[in-house]
Amino acid sequence: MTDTNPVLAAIARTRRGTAEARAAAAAHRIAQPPQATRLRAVAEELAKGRSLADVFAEIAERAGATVHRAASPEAAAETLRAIWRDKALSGPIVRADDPLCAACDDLAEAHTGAARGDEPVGISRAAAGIAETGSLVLVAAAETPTTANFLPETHVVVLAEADVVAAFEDFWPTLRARNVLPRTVNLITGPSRTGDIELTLQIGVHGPRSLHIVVYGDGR
Amino acid sequence: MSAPTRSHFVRDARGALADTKLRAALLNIKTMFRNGRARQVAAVPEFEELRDAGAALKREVIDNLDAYLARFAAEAESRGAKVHFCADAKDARETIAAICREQGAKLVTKGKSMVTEEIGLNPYLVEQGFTPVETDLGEYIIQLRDEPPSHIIAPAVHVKKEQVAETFRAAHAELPPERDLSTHDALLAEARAELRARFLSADVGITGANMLVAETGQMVLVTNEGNGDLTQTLPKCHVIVASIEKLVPSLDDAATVLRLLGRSATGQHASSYTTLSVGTRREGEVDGPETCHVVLVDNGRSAMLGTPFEDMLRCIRCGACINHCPVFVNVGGHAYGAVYVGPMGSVLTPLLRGLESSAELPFACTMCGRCAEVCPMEIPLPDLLRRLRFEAHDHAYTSKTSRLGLAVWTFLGERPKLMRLAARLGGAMMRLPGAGALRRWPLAGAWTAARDLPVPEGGGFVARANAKNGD
Repeated sequence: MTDTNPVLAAIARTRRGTAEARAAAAAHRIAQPPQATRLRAVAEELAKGRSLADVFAEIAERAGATVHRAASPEAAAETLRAIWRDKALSGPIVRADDPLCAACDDLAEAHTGAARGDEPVGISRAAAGIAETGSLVLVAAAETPTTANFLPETHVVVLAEADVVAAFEDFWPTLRARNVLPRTVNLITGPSRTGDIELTLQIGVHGPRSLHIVVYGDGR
Repeated sequence: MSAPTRSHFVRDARGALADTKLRAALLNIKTMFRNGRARQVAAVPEFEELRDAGAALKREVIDNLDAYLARFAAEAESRGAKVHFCADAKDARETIAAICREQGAKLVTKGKSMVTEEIGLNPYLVEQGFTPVETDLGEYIIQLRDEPPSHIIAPAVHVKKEQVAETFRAAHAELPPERDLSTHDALLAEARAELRARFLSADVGITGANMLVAETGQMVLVTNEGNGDLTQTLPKCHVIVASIEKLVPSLDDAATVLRLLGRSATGQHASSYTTLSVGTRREGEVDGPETCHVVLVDNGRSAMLGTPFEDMLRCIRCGACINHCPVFVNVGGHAYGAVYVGPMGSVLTPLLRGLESSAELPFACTMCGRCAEVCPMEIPLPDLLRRLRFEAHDHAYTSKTSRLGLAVWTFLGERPKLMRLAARLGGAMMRLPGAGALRRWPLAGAWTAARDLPVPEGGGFVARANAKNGD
C-alpha cells in the first residue's frame, strides 16, 4: 500500500527506520499495550466493600440517568412495569428481542427490530455496564438494534449486575473474543444533552430525554 | 460558510473587544468549561499520569504513523468500509462528493466535524447540488446564520439565545410566527423537531471521528446530543472524515484518551455518547449503514512530521487550551479568522494554511503558559507559538516597526556596556521631575497602548545582581 499511496509515502519519507521495522513496532504495540492507568477512585470504593453495581449506579446517576435496583430477573420485570406506571408512559414500544424486555408487552403495542422513529419508548438490553463512568454498553445485533437507543424519548435499559465491569479495559476482551465485531458499540452515559445555547445545560436534544437503568441481581 | 482564508487578528480583535454582547457570551466559558474541568481533575489524582500516558501513546502513533494507518485501513476494509487517502482539501472534497453522487443523494446530514470545516466541505457540496444539514445544535445554528464556528467544541458560543430565536424565525418560516421562542427549552424543542425529520430522510450521513483504532478499524465518536449516532445509523451510507493523526494503537489506548477527553473538554467524566463503529451492518443486524467510507485527510499534516511542529499532531481537539486562554475568552473565535482558534489554532492555522496569511496569530498570545498546563496531550503550545514568531520575523511577515525595534534591542543586547548605559540614562530620565511613567515607547506603541512602563526604582538588574553578590 505504501508504494502506491502518496499520503503514506509522504509520511514514510519523514520517519526513522525501515517500513518493515515500523510495521513490526506497531503490530507489537497493538498486541501488547502498556498497563493502563485506571482510576483509583473506583478501586477505593470497592475496597470500602461496595459492589461494582453500587459504584456503577452512583456514577450513572451523576450523569443524569435514573437507576432502579432489582434483586432478581423477576423483580426487574416488575420494576419495568412500575417505571411504565410512574412515568405514565405510552406506546408503541420498540424493544430488544429478550424475554426481560418484554415485561410491558401487555401494556402497549410493542415490536422488536429496528426503531421506526414513532416509538416514545425503547426498552434495551445492555451487554455490560462500566463502573468508572456509569456507562451502559449496548452492542448492535439483530436482537438489540442501535436505532432503539437513540430515537425514543424515553430509554429504559436492563442490565445484569454480573455484567458490570470496573473499567473500559475490562470490557474490551469480551469484544475481542467475538468472531465478528459488531458494526456499532454504544457507550451511553446519561440522557442526550447539549450546552450549545449559551453553554446552558439542556437535556434531550436529539436522543432520549430520559434514561432509566434497571440493574438486577441473580436472585440469590 | 467557506473556511476563512486570511487572519486580521489585530483589526478583528479590536472589533470583538467593543462587542458587549459577544463578551457577555464568552463569560460562560470561564464558569462552565474552566470550572468544570477543574472539578473533574481534582477528582482524579492520577490525572498527570493519564496525561503522560496520553502523550506517550500519541508519540508512538506519530513515530510509526504510516504503519498504524495501513493497519487501520486493512482492519476497516475487512469489515466493509472503503478507505480513501486524500492528500489535500480538494482531493477530500471531490472524494466525498463522488460518494454522494454514487449514492444518488440529495439530503446529507452531518455530525460536527472540524476537518470538514477545514476542507470547506459544505459550500462544495452545495455547489455540487447536495443539501448538507448540520445536526449538532451549535453547528446547525451557525449554518443557518452562515457563520464559521467560533470554538471547536462550542461552535455557537458567541450567539445569545435571543439571536438564536431570530435565526430560527427566519429559517423555519413554515412555523407560526407568533410562537414563543423566549426560552432555552422552546429553542431546543424546535431544533429537535426540525432536525428529526432530516435524520429520518437523509441519504448520506457524514461524521468526523475523535479517534481511529488501528487494532480493530473502528472509529470512536464522542458526542453529547446523540446527533452523531443518528447521522451514522439512519442513512444507508456513512462517510467518516478524519485527519490522519486521529489514530490510536489499540482499544486500551482509546480508553486512556477517553479518560482525558471529556474531563478536559467540557468538564464531564464522560460524554453522553461514545460510539465505536466500523464498516457496514453485519449479517443479521437490522439497522446501520449498508455502505461505509472512511476519508483520511492529510492536507498539510505529513509536512509537519519531522519538524519541531510534529508535537501538534498529538492534539485531540478537546478545546482546553482555548477555554483557558486569556486572549480567547476576551475576543472570541472569529477574531482569529480561521477554523481552528485559540492557542491550538494559532499553531495549526499557520502550519495548515501558511504563515503568510496567518502571521498575526502566533502573536495573539501573552505567553502565560496556561494552555500547556491544561493540554491533556502535553503539547508545548507556547514554545510552538514562539517558534512561529521567529519564522514570521525571519520571513518579514511582521511589521517594519517591530522589526526595527527588535533590531535596536538586538544591537544593544550584543553590546552590554552600551545596554547598561542606555538603561541608566533611560531610568534617570524617567526619574526627572515632571517625567514619570512612560505612556508611549518608541517602536513599541502596541505594547504601551494598554500599559505604562513604570518609573524604575533602585538600580538596574545588573547593578542589583552585582550588589547582591558582594561584587
